[in-house]
Amino acid sequence: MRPFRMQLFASLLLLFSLNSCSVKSLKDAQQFHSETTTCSNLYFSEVNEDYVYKATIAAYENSFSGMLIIKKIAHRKHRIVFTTHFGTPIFDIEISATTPYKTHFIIAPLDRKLIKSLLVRDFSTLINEQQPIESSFTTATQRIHRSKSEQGYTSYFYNSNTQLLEKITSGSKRKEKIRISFQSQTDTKATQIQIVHKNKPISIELTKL
Amino acid sequence: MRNLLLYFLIILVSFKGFSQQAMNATEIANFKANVLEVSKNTHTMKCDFEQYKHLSFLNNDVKTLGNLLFKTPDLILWQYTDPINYSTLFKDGFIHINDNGKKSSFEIGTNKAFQTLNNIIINSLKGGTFEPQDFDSSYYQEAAHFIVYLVPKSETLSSFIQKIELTFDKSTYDVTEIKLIEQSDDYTKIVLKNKKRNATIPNAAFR
Repeated sequence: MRPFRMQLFASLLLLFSLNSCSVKSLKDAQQFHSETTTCSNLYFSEVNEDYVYKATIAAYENSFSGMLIIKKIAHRKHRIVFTTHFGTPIFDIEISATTPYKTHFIIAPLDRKLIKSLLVRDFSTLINEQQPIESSFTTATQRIHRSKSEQGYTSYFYNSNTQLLEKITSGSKRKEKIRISFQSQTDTKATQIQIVHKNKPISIELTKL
Repeated sequence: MRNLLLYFLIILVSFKGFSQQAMNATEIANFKANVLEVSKNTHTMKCDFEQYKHLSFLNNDVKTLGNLLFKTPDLILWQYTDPINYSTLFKDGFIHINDNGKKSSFEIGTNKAFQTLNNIIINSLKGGTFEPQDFDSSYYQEAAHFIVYLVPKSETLSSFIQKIELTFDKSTYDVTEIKLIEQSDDYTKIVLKNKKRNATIPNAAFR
C-alpha cells in the first residue's frame, strides 16, 4: 500500500476507534442541545422525609445486610447512616456539596481512607440533587444529560415517557465505573436502588421500607 | 399567692415521686436475689418485641417488629417480621442469618464484641445479672419499674455502646425494655411484650 493510503487508513482506523470507545450506554444516542442547564435527582431532596432502606451489600466474597438511613439535614447536606438490623451502627457520615465530608462514626475495620472515599463518592453520586449539564443525548426511550464531575463524567438517564430518573452512571468519558439504577413511581421516592461498581466486585441493593 | 406556692410545691413533690431514685445496698441485694431467682427458673422464653432505632436528626424512630425465642443455656432465635423478613439464630457458637431466604453463618467466638453482645442479650432476656468485670452498674427504681444502667468497661464495646439501660417490671422482675445507648446518645430500644416463660419450645424451632 502506498505511504499516503497507509496514513489515511491509519487515521480512519484511529478515528473509528476513538468513536467506538465512548461509553456503551451513549453509543446509539443522538446528541441534542438542551434548553435546561441543570439536571435533577430528587430522590433524596425532601427535608421532611426520613429515607429508610433495607440494604444488602455484597463486597468481594462477603455479603451483609442492614438498614441504610438517609436524611437531608440542610441545603445540599445529607446524613447517611448504616446500621445492623439490631440497630448497632456501622457508619454515620455527613456529606455536603460545599464542605469536606464528616465522619460521625465508623467501625474500626472500615476506618480506612480508601473505604471512606469509596463510600463518600458512591453516596455523593446517589444524593446529589443538581448537576450542570455539559451535553445531552436522546435514545428511543431515554433522555440523557451528562455532567462533568471530579471523577470524570456523570450521566443521568431519564425515561422519555415518564420523565423519571432511571439511572446514573459515573466514570471517565470512555469507561463506566459506577452504575446506579432506580425503580420509582414518583420523582421524589425510589422504591428500589442498585449501586454496582463496574471495576470492583461491590454492589449495594436498597429496598425502601 | 401563698396558696399558689403551696400548690406548686405539692406538684413538684409529686413529680419527684415519679422520677428515678437510686437504690440503697439492701434494695440492690434484694433486687439481684429476685432477678437471679427468676433467671434460675427460666428455661425457655418467647415474646414479641418492638424495636425502635432513634437517631437525633430523624423525624421518627425507625420501627421494626418481631418475635424471639430463647432456650437455656444459650439458644436464641431473633426474628424480624415487619417491615423486613430477617432472622438471627445464636446457636452452638455460631450466628446463623436468614435474610428473606438467603442464609449465611459465622462464628461468634472470633468476634469479641459479638460474644459480649450475645451475652448481654441472653442475660437481659433471662433476667440474669452482669459480671462486674465487664460493666459498671448502677441501680434505680421508679413507681412500677427497676432500672439498671450498665456502662461497658471494654474499649471495643464502649466504642459503640455508651451504656445499656435495662427496665424491669417491679412485680415480676421481668425485663420489659432493653436500651442500647450509643456515645452520641442515639439509641436502639427494644420493648418486650407478651412474654411467656417455660413454654415447651422444641429444639427444632431454632433453625
